[in-house]
Amino acid sequence: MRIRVDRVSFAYDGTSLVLDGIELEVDGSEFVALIGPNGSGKSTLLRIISGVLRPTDGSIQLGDSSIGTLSVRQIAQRLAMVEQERPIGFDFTVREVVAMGRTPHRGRFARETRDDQTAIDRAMTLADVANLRDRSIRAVSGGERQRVFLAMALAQEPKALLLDEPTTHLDLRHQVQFMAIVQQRAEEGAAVVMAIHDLTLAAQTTDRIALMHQGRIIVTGSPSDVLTRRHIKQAFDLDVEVGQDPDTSLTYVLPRVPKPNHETP
Amino acid sequence: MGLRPRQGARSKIRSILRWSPWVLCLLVLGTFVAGVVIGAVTIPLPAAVRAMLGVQSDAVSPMHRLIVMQIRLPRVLLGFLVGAALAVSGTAMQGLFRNPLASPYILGIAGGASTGAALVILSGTRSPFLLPLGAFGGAALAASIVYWLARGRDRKTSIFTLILGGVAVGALFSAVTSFLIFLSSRGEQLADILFWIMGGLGRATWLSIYILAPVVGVATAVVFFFARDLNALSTGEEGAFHLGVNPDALSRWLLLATTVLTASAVALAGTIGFIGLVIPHVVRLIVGPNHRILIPISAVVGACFLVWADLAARTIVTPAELPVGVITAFLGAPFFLYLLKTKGAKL
Repeated sequence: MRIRVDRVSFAYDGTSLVLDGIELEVDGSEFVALIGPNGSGKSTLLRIISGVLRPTDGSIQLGDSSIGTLSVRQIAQRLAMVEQERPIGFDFTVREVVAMGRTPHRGRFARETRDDQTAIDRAMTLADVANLRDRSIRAVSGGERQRVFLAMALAQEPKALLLDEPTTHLDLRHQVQFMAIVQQRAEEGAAVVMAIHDLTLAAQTTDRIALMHQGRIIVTGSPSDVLTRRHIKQAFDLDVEVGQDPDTSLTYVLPRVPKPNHETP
Repeated sequence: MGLRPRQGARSKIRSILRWSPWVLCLLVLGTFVAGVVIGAVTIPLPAAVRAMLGVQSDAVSPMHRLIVMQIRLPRVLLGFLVGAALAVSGTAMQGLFRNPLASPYILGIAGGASTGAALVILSGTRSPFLLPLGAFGGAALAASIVYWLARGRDRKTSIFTLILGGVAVGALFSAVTSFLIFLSSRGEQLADILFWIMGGLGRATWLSIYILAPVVGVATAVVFFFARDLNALSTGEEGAFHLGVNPDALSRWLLLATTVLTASAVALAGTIGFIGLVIPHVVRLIVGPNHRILIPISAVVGACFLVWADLAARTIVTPAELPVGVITAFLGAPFFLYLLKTKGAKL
């Protein structure tokens, strides 16, 4: 399913623009990273695409329909979201939390169908949480918890997947594993948009990167086109080393951390 | 923390659910029989049954018939209805606010109802209709003010403002009630107001049952209708949205249903505390947090708990009668503290 962001502007209080004329198209099977400094509008853009916020100007298309014409439930049948962190109010088991992903597809009083069970089991296996199924969501580690919420989003069988800093609480191995699952969902046809701070991880996993600065997308293109010293200096006001691994030709970004000055004035 | 045998305990608890309908039926039946039979005058079960069925027999004295039909039966039924209403309302409020301290009275309903009741009592009327009407009106007024305060320009309701507004509005109405108590010149009015605030089932009549039963039935059905959405809401308002549940519509309907449940319970039985706070927690610890199971079982357990508490209230100091709110708090608070100490992390 194609996501189309058409000249979207947004202001929380009606005056200062957080997003300013954003244009973005993400096709099915495409994995796009949103990068940019804190406050550049990445999370706000994701919340607008997901329908939580309404744009002050412009429109969002999910497939053939404008998001404004879809009900909350219809949006959830098409689109799932994984945030950096999600609260959980009660002592649900991991299985129960993952099963919540089926909510938009199930009748209000319907029992779990075989389709529901297959989707739930598959999602738990993919996200590597099947062994936690009867544990309390409150008794699992931060990283496990994040994989449970990924499993919940996968159980939702979305045609578009939005991710907002999803790997912040994951260790290196699980970051890589997480990205592999998301890449696989993209290959299966989902449009994926992910806000992320780890530029190297973005470069290695996504098809395209959009660099945001002060509510605008200042450049979009392949990772090696977008991740240049000049672009990053422009958006982050930071000097970095951009290199390519000679074996895999993958782009990496190293920030230059200035040496602390120990001399007393 | 990780050493608790959680998995085994949880699956054992879930298997309880399979036979829980029978346990709950037995509980309701046992509570009903105890509530009708036991009291200042013990009525033998066969006589009580004959009285209820209207069978003419020498074994049933007119006295027994009167006690069963006009006093005990309405009182037990009122206890069931009020207990269920408060427990369901508390379950919905805790689910909606995702806050373990949420209770049916969180919107300032207790304060509003007590002001309404105090005004009616001070006015000196003896009409049996005015007291519940005054209490219901005060409760609905307080909840409406809080809801209006929390309603933003964007037509969204701020949960945070609801909680703080409820505290403030409740305190304001309680202050008005205290002022009215201060003004009351006659001792009996003072006693009436205080007894009403402490809560009791002593004013049970058949008419109150006929009015309360459909109201509690419909409002409980509304809450149950949204059980699945309450589960989704436990992942936060945006989390619920991403699962296809509109959190604004959900909170509007639940606030309406719980206000009706609480206000009508309070109108007929005063502000009985602790049931709406403690029962949902206790039931959640036993059957888990799934609202589709939690809501009906809380209703049954709350109903039975109040009837037993009322039984204690009217037998401990016979022929006098304790306010039932004293008993619910006296049993509820220590039990709640015990749960906090032993299973605090899971609440």
